[in-house]
Amino acid sequence: MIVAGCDVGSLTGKAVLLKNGSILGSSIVPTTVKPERTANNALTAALQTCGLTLEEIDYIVGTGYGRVKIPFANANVSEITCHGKGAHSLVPSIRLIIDVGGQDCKVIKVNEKGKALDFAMNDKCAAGTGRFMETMARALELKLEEMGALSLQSKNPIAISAQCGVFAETEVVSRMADGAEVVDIVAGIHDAVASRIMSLVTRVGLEEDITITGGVAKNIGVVTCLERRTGVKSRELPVDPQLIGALGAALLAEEKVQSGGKGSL
Amino acid sequence: MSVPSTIAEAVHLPNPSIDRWRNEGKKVLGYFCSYIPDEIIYAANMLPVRIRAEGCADTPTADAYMSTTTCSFTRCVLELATRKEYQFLDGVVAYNSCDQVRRLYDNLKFKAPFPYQYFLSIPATLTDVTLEWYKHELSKFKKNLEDTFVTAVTDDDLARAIEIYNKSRDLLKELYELRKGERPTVSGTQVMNVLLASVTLPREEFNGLLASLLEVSRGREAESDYTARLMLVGSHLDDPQFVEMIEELGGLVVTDSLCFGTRYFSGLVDANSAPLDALAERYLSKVSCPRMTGGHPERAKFVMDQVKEFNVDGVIIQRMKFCPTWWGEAFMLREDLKKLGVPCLELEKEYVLSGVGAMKTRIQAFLETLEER
Amino acid sequence: MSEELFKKYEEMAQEDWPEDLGLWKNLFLGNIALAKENLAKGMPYTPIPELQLEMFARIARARMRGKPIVMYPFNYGPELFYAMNVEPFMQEVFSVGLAPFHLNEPYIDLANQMGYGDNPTICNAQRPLIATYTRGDAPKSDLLFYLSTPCNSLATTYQVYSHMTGVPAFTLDIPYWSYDPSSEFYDEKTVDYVIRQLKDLVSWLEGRTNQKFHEEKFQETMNLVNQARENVMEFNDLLKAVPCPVNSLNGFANFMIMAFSGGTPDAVRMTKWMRDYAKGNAEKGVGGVPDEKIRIAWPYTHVFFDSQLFPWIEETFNAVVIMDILGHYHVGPHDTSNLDKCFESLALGTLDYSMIDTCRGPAEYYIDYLLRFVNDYKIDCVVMPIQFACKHIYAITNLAAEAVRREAGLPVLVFGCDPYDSREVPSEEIRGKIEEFITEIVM
Repeated sequence: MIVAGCDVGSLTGKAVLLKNGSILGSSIVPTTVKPERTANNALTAALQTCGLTLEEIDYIVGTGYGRVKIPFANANVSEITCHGKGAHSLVPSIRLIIDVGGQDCKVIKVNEKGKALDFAMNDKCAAGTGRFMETMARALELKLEEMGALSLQSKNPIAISAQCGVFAETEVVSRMADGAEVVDIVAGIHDAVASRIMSLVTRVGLEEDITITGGVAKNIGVVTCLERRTGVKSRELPVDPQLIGALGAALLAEEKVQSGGKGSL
Repeated sequence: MSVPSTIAEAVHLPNPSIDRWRNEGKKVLGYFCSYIPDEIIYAANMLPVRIRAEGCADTPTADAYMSTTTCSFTRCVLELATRKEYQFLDGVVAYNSCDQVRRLYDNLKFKAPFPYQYFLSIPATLTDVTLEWYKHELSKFKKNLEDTFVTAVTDDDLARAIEIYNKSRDLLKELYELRKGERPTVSGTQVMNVLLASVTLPREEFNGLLASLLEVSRGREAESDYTARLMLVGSHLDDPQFVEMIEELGGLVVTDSLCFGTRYFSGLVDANSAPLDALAERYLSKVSCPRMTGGHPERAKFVMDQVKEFNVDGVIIQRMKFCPTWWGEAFMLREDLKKLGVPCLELEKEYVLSGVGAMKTRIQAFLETLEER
Repeated sequence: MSEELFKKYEEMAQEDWPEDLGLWKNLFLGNIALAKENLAKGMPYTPIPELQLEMFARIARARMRGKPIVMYPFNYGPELFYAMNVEPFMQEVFSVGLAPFHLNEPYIDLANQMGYGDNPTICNAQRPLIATYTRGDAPKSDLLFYLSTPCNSLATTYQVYSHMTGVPAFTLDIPYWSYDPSSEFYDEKTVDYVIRQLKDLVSWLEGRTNQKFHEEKFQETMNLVNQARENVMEFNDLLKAVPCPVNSLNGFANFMIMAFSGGTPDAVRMTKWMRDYAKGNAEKGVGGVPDEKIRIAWPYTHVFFDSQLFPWIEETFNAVVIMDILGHYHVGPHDTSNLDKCFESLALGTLDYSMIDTCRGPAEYYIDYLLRFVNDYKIDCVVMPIQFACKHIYAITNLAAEAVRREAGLPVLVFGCDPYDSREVPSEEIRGKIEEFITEIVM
């Protein structure tokens, strides 16, 4: 039985192909204006990595903000449930997932079965998300991938106090003009992101076994800040943190087939 | 026209029933919220219509006067008023329900006055002293209506209005009974429409319609295709589309604690006491709005009773952005529900439904957490 | 302030203070140090440092001796509590008092983290209370008292606080109407309604604290508060002179005195000092601000986090801010010759208290007050820095500004900010706006 999970997010589209619980192939593609196209691109790319065709897939679950627009999906499930499921399947002791994506961040509490029990989301404001990090990188004329490591070099982070992402950009530019050290500003930015995420963690309630997923999980600076604030070391997952949602969706597709659901393409 | 169609039509302001009422030369008074007794207005032979701001897309004028960080409902009302969209109202009655409505009233007075405007000072607590004051305010209001509209509002008039409104309360309670069982024969969306109709139609007409609806609903096929039984809690929610959005995702709304819902119709007026006294007692002591400080324990108990009676799986608290009163209430209620193990989702919304994608994600995720419980 | 007084407070600080007074003690010590520093710098005497230190000491003493503490809001006088021998503790000390040192900001952040409101929804005057309690930094109070006005932020936050802590609360419902027969908003039952609730409050306090209401003590307290009020009213009158005999910060002093110690002999002494000081200057034609050129009305609160804002305005523009909305305490004095009159004075004091009288009812209360003020005090321009979350005023500032421009022909500056949080709209930006306004429009 081969299933697929397709996660159409705001910055990237992802797909994961699963056969009997093992990942056959996956993909991460840039988002296009049309969710249908993004989903198609993601799934096609994933299929290509393992030489399969669409017809060979028994069931597809879509997730992400574009989940209702995926034409070949048999069902759609919220990214909360999918992230919870995906992370837990890799490390079953995990009880809290912090997902920081392109445009939103969410914190998900799961039980021993990986089922989402409670969650908190912030999708009304970009401060604390990948988009914010991108904007800051641009303002500082840095590469996004460099930001995390750079932030760790600071001994004296400059607090970025603006509550709003847009105003934070202005603040950063004016700090640069004042002659502040770039590493200190970058460290402040990372701390600000962690702070926004922490309110969501507080809302749901911290657990002892946590992991960080989503694109921003690849940013060592944010991860370090969050670990410091929570006092808990985040579990590293054996799968690319950006793929967790699609993985969870694929696992749910598997469960659906096992319980007698049929897909049609 | 079928009963559901009439009700669906009545949800809009204005509507044919209001037109008919006015063509008979009778007056229509808009009012804000459930602490102003409809019966007093009805007894003066005027139609009490709960003020809404349907169709308000943007609020440039209102933003200038009320600032952008105030309740969008009040800004929408001010905006529509400045655009003269309340021509079907002969006046408005408001009270100090909250700062935003209080200031809306001021802005209306200065910028878009109605032919008749009246304000009540209603207590935020319930004691013998404050109840006495509330009676005084109701008495003043009645007298003001009499003097302004050259009419008499006798105790008999009030008693008759009370009887009619008590009948609605009984009927609405019956309607909610249909939602208690495993297979409710009315959806939350339908009930929302009925609730809106109750405060936009002449009451006797509404009672007739609701009685018919009840008959029809009893024999109806039940709503069975739902994944969870939900309770909606919150303040000014008058948007059937919002309820529909939730129900389309699989959650069935079976009860509520809403301004337009149970907090509006629960509790009969005592038909055996002097009418004004009876109205004061019932309205000030009914299941309260968070504006009644110190009333939280009773409100939380009400929610829990509803959860038990209606076999609710999860509670959705929806509150308006920039509303301090409801943020405080949600903050307290969330904790209460958590302690009792009742799943709860808190949603912040504007008066006009927006950010539907994000809201649907949260609702869907919430419903998913309720599966297999 | 004498060496003796400092010594007394310092000795007190050495005693064993209960755990919940940890932050309180640090603030106490900080304030002692600041007062000493200012004394050494040769700063001119005002009774305010003494008032503040005594406030810290009072609460500590009450906690240590088991005297019941009643938390009350900034817009209500403490006289009844003094009369009933319970210790009044003003909650807003945490937001207003800590703001100049930015020490309230971590509590604002914690409130955000806890999910209790955000900046434009619930005012940061009260929000930190939830956070200070959660961190164990708030002195334990036995009872909570608050009003239903002027705003929902206050009523909601105290309701939440009572729920969180289990501290019993009493709410006084403030009527919308006026007690002035010539007002279009007159209702003859207004004062009586408040009196009856205040009597309920007395019974409630008796029941909860084992303190008894003593008529003589009550009458004595009301005498004292009205003596102080007489001084304050004289002071207010003296500020009508050109030049204004006191500077902008001194315009706030009487509010603090009445808010912390109204009803005590201290309040009489301190308000008398303020009156004498103003009178002395007025008689000599001396201005609180040298070479006064501009008189500003400020019908809102101070920008609490920027303690240098008013001095900067004074230096830069030779302008004086003549009493902000809280600073302009204008109650009474009333007749206290019998018990009924005393209760009436207590009720009138409640209805006419700073910000309550202007903001408890229709917009006209605020607008008429402002129009009277600009006329009486010969004002040149009006500045209104409004808290984003302050619905009850922000939603009528435009109406008020229009009225002032139209009827008094004066320029008005309105802008949004957070008087408690320096990070929202920083000092530089606020000063920029004021500078632009005064240089482009006023001058």
